[in-house]
Order: sequence, then structure tokens, then C-alpha cells
Amino acid sequence: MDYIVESLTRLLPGLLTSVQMTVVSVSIGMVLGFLGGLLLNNRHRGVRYPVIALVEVLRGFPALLTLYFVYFGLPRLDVVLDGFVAVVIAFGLTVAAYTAEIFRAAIASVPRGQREAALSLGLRRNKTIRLIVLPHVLRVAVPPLLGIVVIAFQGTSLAISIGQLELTGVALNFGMSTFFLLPEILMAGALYLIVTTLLTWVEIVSERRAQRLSGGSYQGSGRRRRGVPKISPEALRTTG
Amino acid sequence: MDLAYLLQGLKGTLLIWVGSLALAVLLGVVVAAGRRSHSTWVRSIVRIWVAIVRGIPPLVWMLLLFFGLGWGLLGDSPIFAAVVALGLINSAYIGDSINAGLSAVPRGQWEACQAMALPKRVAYLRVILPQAFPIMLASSTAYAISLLKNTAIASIIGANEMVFYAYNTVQLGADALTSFFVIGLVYLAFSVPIGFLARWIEGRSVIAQVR
Repeated sequence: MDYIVESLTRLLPGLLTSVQMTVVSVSIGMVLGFLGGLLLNNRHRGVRYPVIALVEVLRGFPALLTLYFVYFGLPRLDVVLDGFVAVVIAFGLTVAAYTAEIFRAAIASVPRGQREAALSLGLRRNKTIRLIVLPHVLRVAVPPLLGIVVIAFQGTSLAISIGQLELTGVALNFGMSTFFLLPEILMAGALYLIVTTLLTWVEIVSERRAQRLSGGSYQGSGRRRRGVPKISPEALRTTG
Repeated sequence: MDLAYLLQGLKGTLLIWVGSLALAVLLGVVVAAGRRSHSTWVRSIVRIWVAIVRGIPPLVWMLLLFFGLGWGLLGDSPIFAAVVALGLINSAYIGDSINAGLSAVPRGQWEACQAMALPKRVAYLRVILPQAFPIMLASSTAYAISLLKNTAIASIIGANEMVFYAYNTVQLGADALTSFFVIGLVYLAFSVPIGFLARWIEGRSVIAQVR
């Protein structure tokens, strides 16, 4: 029992760093991802194709490789980055690529009539997106986006590879220096498990809510087949 | 970027990938069977196991197996530890896609088998699995691709796969931008064709066409 308390006082600051990395990279990633989703729905191929290429490359690269690319590669271009910033940029880009696909499907699911109605009311493009498209998109996209948050949170453990002291880093450092490795990693694993389970639970609740809001038609009706494929975040796992 | 170096790394990557995939499929069948069990106990145990396996990041699993438990059993080979860790994690995902594939077969097919008094083994082999297989395969390939990318994590515990070699050549002075980018292209060379193949199989599936 004493050990658990003692270990928690060591690990909780690490967990805080992990959470900070998650929050910042997910914020960057979702803003970029939404823009990417809009561009992927653009009429012009000249706009769509470069974005598709970028998204496919970022999704095809292991996140660890993107991190190395940013952290070790950018200094060659005289951009020297702090470790935390490199993590946030690399994972932000990865999250952006994955969410762009989710946002693309969600934006495509906005019924045409909604946009046409906005147009006929004389709403400007910005206002149409903010007042008409975004609320609809958030309703369908929130559950899969939460799945991405879970994956991003677990992915922050990779930051140890460039010497960041997040949860895994703190646990490994202490374990290595004291040869008390197994209990310390088990404690870190338990903390990851608790946060992941809580997030997954929120995801399930939000999924039910999304179904209820759309009058139960979200699950398996014609509307979903046309616009919003069921996006399983697990299938998109980004860590690595 | 030395080509021989890259090929050596590719060997390690493929070894981890194929090994963990095989383990994941084997254990995945067990997970799927547990999910479909009539016993509430078995189902709850499988559900908790799946939650634990998924709730802990792959890197932490590897550290646990390699450093934590490993001094005697798994500690000699980081590749082996990575295979076991990734195999365990992905058995949860593959198990669920096997289960989903079986559930996607319409009820009437099961009932027809019963009505014709087909033995369970024949029903599975001749009726259910041929229909469920394309669906299982389509979702499993998505996991197989993410598994391929997760093999990169093994470089952190010192498994000599592609990212490990690239990292070392960069430390020795190779250009980081090109080295890591070339490695990334190799990953794409595997994942893009597999993705196309999966979509093609899914398109040919009987159930997907009926819907």
C-alpha cells in the first residue's frame, strides 16, 4: 500500500505530461483535420488530390517514424525543436490525417438540402459552415473522434523515444535506476488502463447519444449507408 | 542510406509482423469463441481481458514483457517480446472482427442449417464460414496494416527492425529527412496494396452485395 502511494506521487506528474501532450496534439489535429475534411469534399480535383496524398502518407507512416522525422529531420532545415513541441507537431499531424477522413465522411453526410437552404437564405460560406455544417458534423463525428483521442493518449507513450518524461518515461527511468522495474511499469500500465477505460466509457455514452439525437436512424439506416460509414477508430490505430 | 541496411531491417520488421499476426489470429479465434460462449462467466472474463489488453499501450506491453518479466523468459530477444506483445493486443481486435463476421451472416442461414439437420461442423465449414470469411478478412486486414505500423514501436526496446536501423544510421550521420522518409515509403509499399486488396475482397463478398 505504501508502495502504491509512493509510486503514484512519482507517476502522476508523468501522467499529467501525457495528458497535456494528448490535449495539445488532439487540438491541433482536429482543427487541421476539419480543414482537411472540408478540402477532401472540395469539387476541384486539383484541391482534393494533394490533400488525399498527404493524408495517405501520414496515415501510412508509423507515428513513431513521423516523430523521428520531425524531431531529427527538421533540425537539418535549421528548425530546432524542443522535445515536447516535436511530439505535439508530429502527433498533431498524425491525428489530423486520421480525423480528416472522419470529418470528410461526416461532412459528406450533411444533406444537400441543408446547404441549399443556407444558400437560399443568403448565408455566407463561413456562416454556413459554422451554423449549418458544423453542428451536424459534430453530432455524427464525436464518437469516432473520441476513439482517436484514446489512441492519441496511448500514443504519447512513444514520446519516451526522444527522452520525454511522460508516464512511460518516468516509470522506466525510475525502474531502470532502482531495478524495481516490474511493479513500476505495472503501476504505469494501470494508470493508462484507468484513463483509457474512462475515455472509452465516454465514447460509448456519446455514441448512444448520437443515435438518440438522430432518432435512432444513425444505426444502419439508409442515411448512414449513403454518407456516414461506421468508422471504427480501432481500425485506424495510429500508434507506432 | 545503405540499401543492405534497409533490407536487414525489413527482415526484422516482417518477422515481427508475420509472427505477431499469426499469434493474433490463433488467440483471436479463442477470443471470438469466448465472446460467443453461452456461459456468462466466460463472456465476462473475455470482456475484461479484452479491455485490459486494449487499455495498455503497445509500448508498455513490450516493456512489461521484455524488461519486467523478461530477464529469464523473454528477455533475450526483443523481437520475441514484441511478437508476444503485439500478438496479445491484436488478438482482441482480430477476435472481435471474427465475431463480427460470424454475426453478419443472416440468422436465416443458421436456422436453415438447423432445419436441414446439418451437423454443426458441416454447417460452419460449408455454409457459415464461406459467407463470413470475406467480412472477417476485410476488417482484419485493417488491423493487419495497423499492426505493421505498430512493429515500429519494437525499435524502442531494441528490436533490430527498419526504424531501429534507420535511427542508427541517422545517429551515425546519415541525413535524417531522407532516411526516415525512405523507410516510410517501404511501409506504404506494403500497406497501400493490402488496403486495395481488402476493399476488393469486401466488394466481392456476398453479404455486402445483398445489402
